[in-house]
Amino acid sequence: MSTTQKISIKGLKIGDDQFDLLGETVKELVGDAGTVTIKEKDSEGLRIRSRHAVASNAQFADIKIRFHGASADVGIYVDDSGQIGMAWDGYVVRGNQQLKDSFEGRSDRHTFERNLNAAFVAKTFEQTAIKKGFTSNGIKRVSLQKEKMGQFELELNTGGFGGFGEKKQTNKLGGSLGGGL
Amino acid sequence: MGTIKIIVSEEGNISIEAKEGFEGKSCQEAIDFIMNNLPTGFAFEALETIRHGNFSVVAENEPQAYLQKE
Repeated sequence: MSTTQKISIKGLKIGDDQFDLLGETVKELVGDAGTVTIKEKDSEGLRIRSRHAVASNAQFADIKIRFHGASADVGIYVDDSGQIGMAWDGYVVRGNQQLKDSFEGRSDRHTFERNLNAAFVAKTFEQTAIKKGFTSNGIKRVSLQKEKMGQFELELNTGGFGGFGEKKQTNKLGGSLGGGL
Repeated sequence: MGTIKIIVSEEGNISIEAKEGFEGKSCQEAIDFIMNNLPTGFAFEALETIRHGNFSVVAENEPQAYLQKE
């Protein structure tokens, strides 16, 4: 019998107070492809359903996704260090038309994980910049049909930040940057 | 006011470029400012390539790897 276990999204850890942003990112990424449930603060989590036995450390998720047409859940977990883990059976997303429409014809778990990773990083940049007085034109996912993948793009306006009107040389990264620096 | 464009690919590559408003000036401060103020605990492992450019100046140097500071 298979066991549904958590695996880590490589290297991605959420920072303090970023759980809400993670939930928002998951909701936006799933869109019309399924239903996202986010656990109440201080609750033990959301019990996930699987076709297989669920490992003891994966039974209660912080965020649960039920993709349309699936009879099992995707669990998303955040441990004490901020590491994100996910648990799901591969078949859960296979064949999901909404995901195929969103992700250049793909509906496999790795595609979803990579998009979640990238979307969350983009949102973190945006959130950080806005907190520091920049403005954002919003994040958009741009589909690269030829490469059969996508990327998340955002533009940030620096506002009055930084004294760019002064002639000043800064090159903290050792002189290997692009022109004009 | 300057505009910075950030692109995060599915493969985990991050590109940042100065899009406008930095003619003859550095966007490095703005990029550093963001990078230095990322939330405590936020981390990504794939240490990505950040591409610096200036829309009005031809970049003479190759993109470089930028490591997230500990």
